Amino acid sequence: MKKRDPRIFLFLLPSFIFLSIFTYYPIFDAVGLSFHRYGAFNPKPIFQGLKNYIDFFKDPIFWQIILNNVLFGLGTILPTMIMALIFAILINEVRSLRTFFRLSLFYPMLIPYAAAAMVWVFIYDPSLGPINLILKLLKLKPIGWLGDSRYSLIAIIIMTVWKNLGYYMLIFLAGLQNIPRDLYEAATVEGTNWSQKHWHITIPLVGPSTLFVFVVSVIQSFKVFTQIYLMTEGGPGYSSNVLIYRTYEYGFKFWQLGRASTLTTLMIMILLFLVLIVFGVWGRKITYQAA
Amino acid sequence: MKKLFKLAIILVLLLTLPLYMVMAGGKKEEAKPEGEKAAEETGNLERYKLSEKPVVIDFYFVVGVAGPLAQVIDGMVEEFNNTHQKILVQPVYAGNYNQTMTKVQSAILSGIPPDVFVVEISELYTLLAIDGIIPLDKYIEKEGGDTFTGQYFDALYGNARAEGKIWGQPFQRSTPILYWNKDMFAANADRLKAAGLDPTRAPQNWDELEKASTILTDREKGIWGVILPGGWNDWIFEAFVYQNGGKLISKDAEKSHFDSPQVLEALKFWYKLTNELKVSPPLRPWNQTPIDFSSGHAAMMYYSTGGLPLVRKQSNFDFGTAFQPKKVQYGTPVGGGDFHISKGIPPENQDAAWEFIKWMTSPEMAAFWSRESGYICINKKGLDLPEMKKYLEEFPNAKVAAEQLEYSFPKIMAPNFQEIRKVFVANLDAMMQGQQSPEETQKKLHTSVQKILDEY
Amino acid sequence: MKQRHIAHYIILLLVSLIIVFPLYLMFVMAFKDSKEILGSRYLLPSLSPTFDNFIRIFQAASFGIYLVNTIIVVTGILVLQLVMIIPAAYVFARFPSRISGFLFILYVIQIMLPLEALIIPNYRIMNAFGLINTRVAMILPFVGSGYCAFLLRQAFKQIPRSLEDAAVIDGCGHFGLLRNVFIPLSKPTITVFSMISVATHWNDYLWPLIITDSNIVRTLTIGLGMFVQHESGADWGMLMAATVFITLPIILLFLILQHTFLESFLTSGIKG
Repeated sequence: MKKRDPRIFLFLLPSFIFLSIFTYYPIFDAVGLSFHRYGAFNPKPIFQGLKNYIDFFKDPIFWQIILNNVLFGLGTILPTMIMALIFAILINEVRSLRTFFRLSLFYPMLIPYAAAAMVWVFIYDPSLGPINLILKLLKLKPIGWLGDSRYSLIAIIIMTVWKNLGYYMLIFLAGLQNIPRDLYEAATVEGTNWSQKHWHITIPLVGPSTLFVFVVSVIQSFKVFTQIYLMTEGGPGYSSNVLIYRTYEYGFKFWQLGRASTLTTLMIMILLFLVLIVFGVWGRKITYQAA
Repeated sequence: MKKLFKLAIILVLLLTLPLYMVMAGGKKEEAKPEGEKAAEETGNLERYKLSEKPVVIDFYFVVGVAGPLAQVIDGMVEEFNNTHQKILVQPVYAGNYNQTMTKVQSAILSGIPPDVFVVEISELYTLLAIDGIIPLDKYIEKEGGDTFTGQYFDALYGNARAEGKIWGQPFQRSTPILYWNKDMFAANADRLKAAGLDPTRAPQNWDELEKASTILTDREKGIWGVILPGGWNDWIFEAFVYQNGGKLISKDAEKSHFDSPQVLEALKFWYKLTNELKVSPPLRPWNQTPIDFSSGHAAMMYYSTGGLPLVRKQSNFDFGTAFQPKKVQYGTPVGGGDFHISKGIPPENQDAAWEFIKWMTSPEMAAFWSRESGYICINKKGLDLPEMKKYLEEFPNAKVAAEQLEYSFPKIMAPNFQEIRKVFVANLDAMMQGQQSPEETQKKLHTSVQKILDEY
Repeated sequence: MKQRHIAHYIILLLVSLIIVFPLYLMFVMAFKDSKEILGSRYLLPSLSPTFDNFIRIFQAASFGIYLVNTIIVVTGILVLQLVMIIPAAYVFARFPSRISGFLFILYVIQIMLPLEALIIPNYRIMNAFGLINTRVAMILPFVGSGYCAFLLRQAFKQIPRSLEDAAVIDGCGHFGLLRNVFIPLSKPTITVFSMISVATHWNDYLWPLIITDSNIVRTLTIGLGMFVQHESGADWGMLMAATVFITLPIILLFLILQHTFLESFLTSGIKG
């Protein structure tokens, strides 16, 4: 068996076919359609150049949606990562009850969004829900949560943080296992306190891979759909509408597949730009590391 | 060499495995008649084999109000199947109105339409634009033409007629009505009387509505005067425009009338209730509204007559229903969903679909459906049935919606109504939350609706 | 030192309680009737729990069918992913070349282009194949998993060459190597990936929402979403019972495997 046997690529072929059909061909399809007027009412695509793009760029709703996406992405990921790191450090330092803590932080990860959305719709219910019940007890003004444009996106962010926290906590916990114990022991001998210790040892050591996780999470945050569809339908108004939900609306509610493809193309461009960042900074590491 | 050969064979197998799965799936489906396969999957195989190969039709239906109506429809379909040996109807619950329309449209466009379906009445022009349905005139002719349609409230055909033909048969039809908490009115009788209102009846015009809501709002206890529910606030708002003598768009769906003073006045009235007087919550989800009302968090609500069974079941106080208060006139759009029969399906399926529709809208079934769902008993003959008479006597609240039909208008219809509805709801949402003034709302609505109308 | 640990425990207990609260609420409410919930008496477990809600959800919707469909889809995805990707990861790990390096980048990019972003073209593809409203359509797009390729390649690379050489001397071909060396030695990674794959696709919503039209092929999440549309507000107890029903299998599966999963996760060093 020679190493340089080209037939070894037959091993790659099956999965590559799937990748081509369902990931790479669709990109070309979307880009092509994005220049056309096409949909349920125009079954024959009509080429119209950049019109779809220009229409969107002129549409204030489009920009609100982009802003919502950014707010959702940063609003979920930053708090999630910071809290996850802190809790991971805490769990790593306690002796008993570790499994209990790990489990209770991790389990929301397993609950399907569709199910989690139901529970949270109840939690946010203005007249019955526990949050407003507590607010009433504290003599504070109840909040409309999902029915209020000012709070709808925040409500969805809180729910998403709750859901993802445990997963990130595990990632950090795994990272912490790789830090040699004697580093901490040396620090303790020198008399540094708890926060100094972690600031000078833990963060620099966990940091680089954290940044990578961060960018990948930003990319993943673009797929938020289920909780929005089930909890607010993008509303009230457009206050919790995001790119993917808007694409769904244009595609499967308004049946304007041309415009929906334009949104798809724009999303692909944003994602590929982020991918470029990932590769620009971590490319070597991803492909050649762990040899 | 031998090894590589083996490798190649296994790889080819691997490669073709998914394809094979697809093909196998497809072949199996082709091998059996479609009806048999469908019957097998829904556990109706026995029934299918017993009766001499009936025509199997798919029926997509919608549930548009809070309550367990899906089971009621399943039950009705089962009875139909038991009494019709030649036809087997497969009910498919397709979600709320938005979702059902999405599914129906997706199915029609991908060439596998359901045989018969119910969607929201405003969607008619969309269905025509995608060439998805057949006119029902030839069936109605066969049943006796005007004598057949004469059984039904004529106002309900307003959203089924286009291009001189009838495209839909009324089914789950409603109007919004005003629900009012009689106990709450009685408890505040003195204050209501002082304001010149009669605490034993519901407000009859906008002015009375405003006064009563203001008096009955209790911020301490978290009680709202009146709820204008979100989600379908476009529908409720349309009623206010009719009450004010205006309209939303022209009948041919070409011109927007959102710029009229009647619309502005209605917008201003809503703004006043929600933002100036704060007697109406900015937004409550559609399905939550009846709960708020029946748990005593609101003195009045605008809601579909389809909410009656739930409110009746859950309220532990005496409540009444009434016409929506008038401004210059009583007025309301009709609402709900009609039956449609798909194009592109075999004629025998279309005939079977008509049989099913006819049966579902017969006096007995219409009356049964009305009692279970709170919807209007669309078939006037159904109202004369003894059990229906008894029901209405016991529960006169159920009469109001049908009586209100006298003052009803066809609901707004336009191709791609979904897009108009989205803009409509979004702008009302923004105004109800005080993010834009009525004037601004009117301007935005007019320009965006006109733009959508111009596209088709 | 001791004192600080007490602070640790207090913080962690508080956080755990907050995070467990929704789950607690779900279970407690599933056993209550709607009167009790509407009267805001839902915080404490009911003294006279009712199983009524669970009986009624099965009358109201075909949750049995949904469960079967979900299991078919989820296992279908997992099996095909492993079958397709293990050989690919083997090539990436052991036969580095320009071409395989380039292809690997394509696989990694796929991790970052979620299917959710490509629903419009994928819907058109399924339409062209005539696969709308089938279970197969819910499986196929997820098979070429870049994430799986990435994880397995990492795992395969860490396997010492010496073991491999020994196996080759014993007469193992490519398949023999995979079966006797690579797969057994990367079990932790495979376990973790399987668990993540199952949980992810149990959770799938947007794609099944678009691709399914009828009850026969709906999955649990879609079924729950539809069920909510006509029951929401009406009956919280019943909704929570349905929620418990779709969540329980995956939680049970995890509890059974949790030791393996957590240990594998922490040792195999999966970092996103």
